[in-house]
Amino acid sequence: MSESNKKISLISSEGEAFEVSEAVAREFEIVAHMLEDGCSGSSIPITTVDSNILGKVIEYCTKHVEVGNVEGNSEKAEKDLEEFDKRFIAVEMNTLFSLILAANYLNVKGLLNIGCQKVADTIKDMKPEEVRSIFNIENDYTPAEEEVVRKENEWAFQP
Amino acid sequence: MDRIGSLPDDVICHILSFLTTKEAAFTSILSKRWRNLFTLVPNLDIDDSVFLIPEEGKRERDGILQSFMDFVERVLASQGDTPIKKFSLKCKTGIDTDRVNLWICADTFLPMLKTLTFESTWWPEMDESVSSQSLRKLTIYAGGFRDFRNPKSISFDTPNLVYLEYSDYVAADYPKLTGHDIELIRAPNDEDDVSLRLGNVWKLISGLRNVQRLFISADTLEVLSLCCESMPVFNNLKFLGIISAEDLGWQAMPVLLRNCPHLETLILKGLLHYVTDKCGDVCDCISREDKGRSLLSCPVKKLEIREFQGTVREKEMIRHFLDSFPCLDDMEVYADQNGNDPTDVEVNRICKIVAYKVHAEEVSTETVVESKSMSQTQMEEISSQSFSWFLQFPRNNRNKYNFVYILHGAPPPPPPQEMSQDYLKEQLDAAKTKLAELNEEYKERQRVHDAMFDRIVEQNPMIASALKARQSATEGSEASNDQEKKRDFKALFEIIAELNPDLASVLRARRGTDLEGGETSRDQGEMTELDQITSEAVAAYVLPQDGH
Repeated sequence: MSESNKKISLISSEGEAFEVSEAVAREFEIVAHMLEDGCSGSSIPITTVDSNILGKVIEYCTKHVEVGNVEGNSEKAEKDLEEFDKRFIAVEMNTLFSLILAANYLNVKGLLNIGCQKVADTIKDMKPEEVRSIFNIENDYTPAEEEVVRKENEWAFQP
Repeated sequence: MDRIGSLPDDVICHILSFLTTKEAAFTSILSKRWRNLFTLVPNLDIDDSVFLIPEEGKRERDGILQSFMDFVERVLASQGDTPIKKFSLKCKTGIDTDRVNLWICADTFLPMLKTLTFESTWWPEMDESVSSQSLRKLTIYAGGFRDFRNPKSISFDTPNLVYLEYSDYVAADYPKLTGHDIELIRAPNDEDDVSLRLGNVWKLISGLRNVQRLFISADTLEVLSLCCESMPVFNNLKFLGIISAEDLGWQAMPVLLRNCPHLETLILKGLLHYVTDKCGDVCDCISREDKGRSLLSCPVKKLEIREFQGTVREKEMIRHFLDSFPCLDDMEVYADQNGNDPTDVEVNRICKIVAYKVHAEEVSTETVVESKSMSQTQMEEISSQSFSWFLQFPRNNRNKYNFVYILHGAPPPPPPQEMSQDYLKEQLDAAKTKLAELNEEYKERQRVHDAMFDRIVEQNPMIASALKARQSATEGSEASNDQEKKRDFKALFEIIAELNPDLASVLRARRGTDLEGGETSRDQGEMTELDQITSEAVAAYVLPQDGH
């Protein structure tokens, strides 16, 4: 296809340009919408995402576009992609949150899903104190208020 | 900085949607911001076994059930701008049946519900009806009423349903089943021993006649034998999956296959079934004149057989299928990875068998090895083995197929087992047996070593006397009455080393091989180190222990 040869520059918050094919840029739904709305410029500023994170998001989209284009042997390809996702999302918390924020802003659904899944898996079996400490959440309940919440959802808390 | 706080509410809800409702509700305690976030999640995933069963007596404690039911209603009532789209409810007992009935009568509370999963050992005790305009996917696993009577009447008023997965005792009546274009259904997993009032099964099946994809369990297939006469024609059905069980019959199979005029794909999970007097049409269990009649009119193009166990009966049946399906282009057979006899090397080597129709005079077979970690020579060795005898070619001359045997490079890995009580017990027993074996083996080795010790002492008076001298020098009074048994390997070793360096190295080598199970070629440094360890270990075991 001719349009997949077209290059688009995505500009990070630091002003660094990342040149990608249109197919990859379209994985960013926000970009896809801009293109459909007739915004035809060849460079698109992504002002809320820094170079490091933008580079990663592009890496993710590039891989998914590549795999999506290969015909046949889909089972193996899917497995590979799963492996890739798993490795890709195994990052420390700050990066993970930046990736989720970027995926949410750029509307990259697959990345948003694996990011949120990863956070969910992390907090799943933790005590509230542990969750608060890894996410730096400040407990602003008074003991009395906390008791009310516990009572409210009593069935959800262990004894 | 509050890291997760930088995320907007909808992203946090998205994160919570990957948790069960119980896990999500747990986050309400984190901080004020989190208090109601979980109620905005568009999924409700509730399994009462998770929060009521783990702790003995929790269910009975005052207020727990009430707290739970209040919670469900609070969430249902407070959906606001984010209506619930997916509702999964698994509950065993003890929940107020009227209230549950209200919850799953989806239109009341859940105008936007797309997916409903209901799993319970009982239906609410009244005529049941699932009614929703928006519902697209419905899963129901139930086990009749609390007292295991069949439900009286169940109706599905779900015009937009595209997926139904339904397993229950057969209800006495199915007055209504709407839903156009249902795509996939696993029909009821009915219990055939409940033979009363089965006459209305046809109403359920008839309500499904427009499906495109249909999966039927082995129990259901047998129940369907009761309504062979009134089996509808499935004009839209392209995809039929049937699970087979060795103790259940295939009576309904002929009429099912005859009534799917546009079937494209047939999946059979298991071929073995209970032989009945209706056999011999689809299958070739019994020879009869109209053998294969129902297959001859079946337009299926693709046949997939799963859980193939490699028995003669299965192989015969596959040949019969290849003989009789007139339009069949492809067949794929997957070997059973779990249930096979581990000693049956051939079946366990097979990953998949593919047959595809050819129009040439000659047919071929090919063997392919699927491998990730295998040397070239191993691959070639296996590839050269021919599996062409494994399945027979069709007997007739109309249908010709090329075969490809895809083999596992390495033996297939053992299937992952669930960590159930039974499994753990099995593992424990196995470990115990292994331990007993190892103990036996150890005793045997000990005897060999003792014999060696004795022989050396016997044949070398010089060593014997040196040993005696050492013993009397080192030991006090306590062990002297047990002289016979005390064999001080360490002392012996040192004495021999002093007397004869050559013998010492021979002994060293021997001991190394004995204890390391045949590993002979080790470099000298490692050897010495090993010997120190082993001689001490041997000494520790060989010396009579306290209390003997």
